[in-house]
Amino acid sequence: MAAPSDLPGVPALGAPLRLLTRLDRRSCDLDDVVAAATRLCAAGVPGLSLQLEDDVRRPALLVEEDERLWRVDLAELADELPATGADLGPAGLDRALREHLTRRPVTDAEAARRGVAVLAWAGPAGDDLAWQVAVARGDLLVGWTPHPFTGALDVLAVRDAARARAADVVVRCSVEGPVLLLDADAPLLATAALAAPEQVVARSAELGLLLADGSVVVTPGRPVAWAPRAVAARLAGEGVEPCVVLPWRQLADLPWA
Amino acid sequence: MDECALLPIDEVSGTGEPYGTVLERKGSVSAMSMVYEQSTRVVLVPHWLSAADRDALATSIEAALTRADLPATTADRLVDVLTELHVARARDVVWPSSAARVRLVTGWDPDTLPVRLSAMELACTLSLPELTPPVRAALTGGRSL
Repeated sequence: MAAPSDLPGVPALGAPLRLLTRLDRRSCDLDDVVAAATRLCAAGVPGLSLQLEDDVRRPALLVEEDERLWRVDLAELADELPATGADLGPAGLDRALREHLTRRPVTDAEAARRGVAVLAWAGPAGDDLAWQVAVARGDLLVGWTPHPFTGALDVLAVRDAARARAADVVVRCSVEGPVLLLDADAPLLATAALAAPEQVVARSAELGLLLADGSVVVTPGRPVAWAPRAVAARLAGEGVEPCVVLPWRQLADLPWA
Repeated sequence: MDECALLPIDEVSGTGEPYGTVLERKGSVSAMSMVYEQSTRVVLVPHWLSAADRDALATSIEAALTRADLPATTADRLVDVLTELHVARARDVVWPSSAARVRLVTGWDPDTLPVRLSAMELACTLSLPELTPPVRAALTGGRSL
């Protein structure tokens, strides 16, 4: 009988087959995540009320803060965690769960206290711009949606306060020929400067730019470019990247998400 | 008589097949491809220039703009080219990923940027005697082919 390596085709398969052993299939055990959630509930997080819903099939962590109730499906989390590259040991899972808690919904009180107005994608196709009240948690920016029971006047007050606070966000200005570029430490915060466009126009006049009837090129999460209309059209004319070009006076008329 | 036949050819082609499909497929147009600019109906073609090439190009254009015998229309186009050199850098700050992808595939230097010029802007630039041979080569051959 012929040795396996003498068979036609088998030597050619050798190299790819050796690759199989090198595939690192990390997986996260649901029981480990539930154990981490139990430890988290026992330790507690100030301001949050944590409760473990120990259903055998769909265990979940219930996070309650003021008027918001958030349900974290632990099975889904266990599926997502290996892809994030997080450490899957007990200590790593504890850290990952605490980091996941920063994604919890923003309460009305927190939005009123430290919400900032930024521009975000909105609309059914996700290609319209809209103002959004967002709260920075670590390097994450979480959007605020008004609670159904929040009064309209309270919503307006939160939005006004967020717009006023956005004017104080530190935004770096750099000049590239006729183009003014606005960038912030957190990329999503770069659009905060557009909440007070008059300030930017005044600042650009000091830098020697004439942007009084210019257009802004906005891509949420990317630096904002501000240039005379023809230059802005040229800048965005490439059309490969999703962006919105609009005269800066229309910024205040954009809807709220 | 068919009314469509009375339309000027430009208007027909502007809404017709070739340009219409290009605009609809915007998302899939690669960074290397030509761009159809809707407002002015001018195609801007990317020329991948290194930082040294761009500096030399700007220097030669600035030198040409000081000449008294330069036609005014040429001067306008050359100012547009100077603007484009700035816009190319700004574009790379705002959306770095598509040019970075091309550089990754081709192995070009990180300071290589697509400078998008219309045919008229390119012709005016190439007509300058001030243009240095390396820049002329970069605009007509090499990475621009």
